[in-house]
This record gives sequence, structure tokens and C-alpha cells, in this order.
Amino acid sequence: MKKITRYIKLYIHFVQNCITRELLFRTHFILSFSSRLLMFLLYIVFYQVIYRSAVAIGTLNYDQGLLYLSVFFLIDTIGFMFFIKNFSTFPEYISEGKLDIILTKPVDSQFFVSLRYFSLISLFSIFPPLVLFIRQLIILDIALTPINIVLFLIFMGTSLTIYYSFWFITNLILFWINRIDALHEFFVTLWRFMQFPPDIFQGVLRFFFVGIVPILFTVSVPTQAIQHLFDLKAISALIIASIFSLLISRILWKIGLRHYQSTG
Amino acid sequence: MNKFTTYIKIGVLDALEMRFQLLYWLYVNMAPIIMMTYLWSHLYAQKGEIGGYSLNMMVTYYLVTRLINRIISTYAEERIAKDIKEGRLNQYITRPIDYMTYKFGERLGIRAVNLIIVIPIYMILMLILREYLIFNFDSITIIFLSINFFLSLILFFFLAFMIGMMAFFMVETHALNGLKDQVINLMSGYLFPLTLLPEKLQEIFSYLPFTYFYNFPMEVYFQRLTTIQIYQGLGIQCVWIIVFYLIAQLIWQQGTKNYEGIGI
Repeated sequence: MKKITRYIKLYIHFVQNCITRELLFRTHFILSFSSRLLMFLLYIVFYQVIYRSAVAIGTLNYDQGLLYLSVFFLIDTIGFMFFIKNFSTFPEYISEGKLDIILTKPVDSQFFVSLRYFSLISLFSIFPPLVLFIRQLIILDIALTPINIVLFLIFMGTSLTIYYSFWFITNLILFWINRIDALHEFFVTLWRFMQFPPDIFQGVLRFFFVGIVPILFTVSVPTQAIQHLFDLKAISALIIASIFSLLISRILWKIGLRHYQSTG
Repeated sequence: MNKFTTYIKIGVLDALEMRFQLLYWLYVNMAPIIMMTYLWSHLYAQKGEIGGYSLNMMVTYYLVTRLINRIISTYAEERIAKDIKEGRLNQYITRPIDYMTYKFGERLGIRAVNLIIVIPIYMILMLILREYLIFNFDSITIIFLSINFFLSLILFFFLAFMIGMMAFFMVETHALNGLKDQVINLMSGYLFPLTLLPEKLQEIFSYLPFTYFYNFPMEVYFQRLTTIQIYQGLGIQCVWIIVFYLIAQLIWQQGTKNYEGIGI
């Protein structure tokens, strides 16, 4: 318990430090927020364009589709808030030997490299998808009960665990091959597939997103939970995937550290 | 012997790095096209034609627009901003060199080399998606497209040049660049063909420069425009080039007045 409190305190310091730094560049902050907002609106337009063409994505109608999209962006933005700055700094840690200093600190190194930086812009960028999420709940007349709220939050947590673990794992390639430009985009590119409901992925790609990089249900399960819909198979797959992916990320980090050549 | 094994290992890792980088580029280029192919295949299973496009046209659209992006994007923004921020601009303004022309030439050279890598990647993609693709080798179409690509390259460069030059007035231009990308994504037809939008919006976009980056060349490629419409489109591109050039000159003049020239 004492250890957890210490880590929470440390994380609060990290966040404070990053907020102070980001607020120094206000114009940059506003422009970055506008850029994220525009990207979000762009995908709403894309969904509108699709449904205007009298076709549907999977079994979802337009409003359910937008609810799904809002949950995708909620996970995406929360994930960015915690990890984007950390994972884009990863090459510096490994290729330039900056990890040396981190390894000497009295703190878990995986915790440090994963959470040292916090994105304030992403914190603000949560509001547009959150507004859309609430709007869709009202339009679809979804009753909020303690059960569906708690389950929604639990499934969001498991989805974010998978999101974190696979993003982290893909960055570990740098321990072995340390000259790859923008490697942090590797997972993000895969993750973007999830902006569309799982129904569209069949065959090889479905197998890939269930068995190899199990992100297929990361958006659909929380979206269904808030609508009082429960697919037990998908829920089990999500929970198992989150536990295993986190464990694998830990094991691979330890193996990676053994291969770290300490360039600095 | 141990040392020798290490040397072999270093050699293998070195070779792997290059191959992995190539595979990574292939993946980054391929993934969004595969995603869109899955999405549109799913939608076209419900309806044979959407926005005047068949499934084959749609898949061709995504592949060719991504290839056009690789041809016309100059990615000059960051380099120009860096030249200004780090005082490297000094070496150009103290010599009888026109910085804008120099940068344009330099970017053309870099693009040409990049295309040597990108074209084989797209040939692999074409092979994978060959059953969906529509090929058009009509010589007149190719001439029109070549002119359009050249004009787009200039327009894209001027845009990049203007964004990069904002470093004269701002500490950080990265976010502004991101915002520009989102505007282009929305108005150029990069995310979906603009024919899917309401006609009024299409008409408004046709007077802006962005549609000529992707949507217009694809309409030319599919031979959906009359010769007069093509000339009109190329004419509008030329007008925008003049406008962008004048704005770029204005920013340059104002910017160089502000420039402190660290290290002169």
C-alpha cells in the first residue's frame, strides 16, 4: 500500500511538471487542440457520409455507430494522454543511452518510461468525444444504472490495458533493432482499424485481431456494456487478453533490458 | 571465436535493421489501404454503387491517392522551421541564394530518392490488390495527371513553406502543421471521394486549392471529367499557386525583418 501511495505521489509530480511545461506554449496548445478536434469532426463527417449512402456498418444504425465512434475516441484520447509522449521518447531512451539514468533511479523502470510524460492537450481533447458520447446516450435513450456504468468503466480499463501493453510491446523492438523511424506509429496504425466496428473484419484480419493482436473487442465491449448488452465470449476474450498482454509486456521489458547495450 | 560470433551478430543486426525499416514502410503504407478495402467491401456488399463509385473504383481511389500523397508531399515544414529556430538560415541569407528556390530544389531531390523506395512498395500493394484495381494507361490522361502532380507539388511546397516560416513568429509550428494536415484531409478527398458529399459543399471545395491534390486527379484518372473541366481545374490550381506565392513572399519579408539571426 505504501508503495502504491509513493507511485501515485510520483505520478502527480510528473503530471504537474508536464502541465507547467505545456502551458508555457499556449498558442501551440490551442493549435494542437484544434487539430485533434478537427480530426474528430472529420470522422463524424465520414460516418455521416457512409450512412448518407444508405448503407450501415455492421449491425449498427447511425446513432449506435456514433456511440461506437465516441468510445473509440475516448479510449484513443485517454491512451494518448498517458502514453503518446512517453512512447515517442522511447527511441531517445534506447538509441541514445538515456535509459542508463532511468535504470539508476529508485523507481520501477517500466513505470518511469511508460508514464514520465503526460499530455495536457489530450486531457482537453477528451471533451469532444465525451460530449458526443453523452449526446448519443440521450438520443438512444440508454438508461444509466450503477451496473452498466461500473461495467463500462471496468471494460474501458481492460481495453486501455491492452492498448497500453501492445503499444509498449511494439516499442520494445528498439532493444534489438534500434534504427526505425517513428516506431511508435506501428501500434497506432493498427489501432486505427478499431475506429470501425468489428463486424467489418472477417477472415484473416479477424483472426489477427483476435488471436495475435487482440484488440478487436476493445471498443465494442465497453460500447455494448453501456447499452446493457453483454457478449460473454467477447468479454472473456477481452479480460484474458488484458491480463496476458500486461504480463507479456512485463516479461518482454525484462528480456529487452538484458539486451540493452547502453550506448551512452 | 567469441569475438568473431559477435561481429557476425552485428552484421546480421545491421542487415536486419535495413530490412525491418523497409518492411515497416511497407506496413505503414499498406495498413490504411487494407483497412479501407475491408470497410468498403463490407459496405458494397449492401449496395452496388456508392456516390457513383463501384467497389473497384473505391479501392483504386484509396491506393492511388496514397501514392499521389507520396509524390506531392514535400514535408518541408519541419526543416524550414528548424533552419529558422536554430539560426541555420544565416548560411542562406548571407549568400546570393534564393532560399525558397533552394528549398524547393532540395525537396524535389529528396522526393525523387524517396520515390525509388516508395514505388516498389506500391507495386507490391498493387499486386496484392490487383483483382480490385482499375488501370488507366491512356496517354492524354497521363499527361493531364503529370501536369496536375507538378502543380500540386508546387502548391504543397508553398503551403509547407508558409507553415515552416511561421517559426519566425512562433516558438513551435508542429501543431500548426497538424492542423493544416486535418484541413487537407477534410477538403481534398484524402479520406473519401468528395462526390460522397452534398453537391453544394463539392462546389465550394472546387474553388479551394485542396481538392486538386487528390479528388481532382482521381476524377481525371477515372475519366469522369470533360476536357474543359480538366483545363478549368488546372487553371484554378495555377491561380492558387500565384496566390500562395504572393502570401509566401509577404511572410518571408515580414519574417526576415523579425529574424534575429543567431550566430551571424
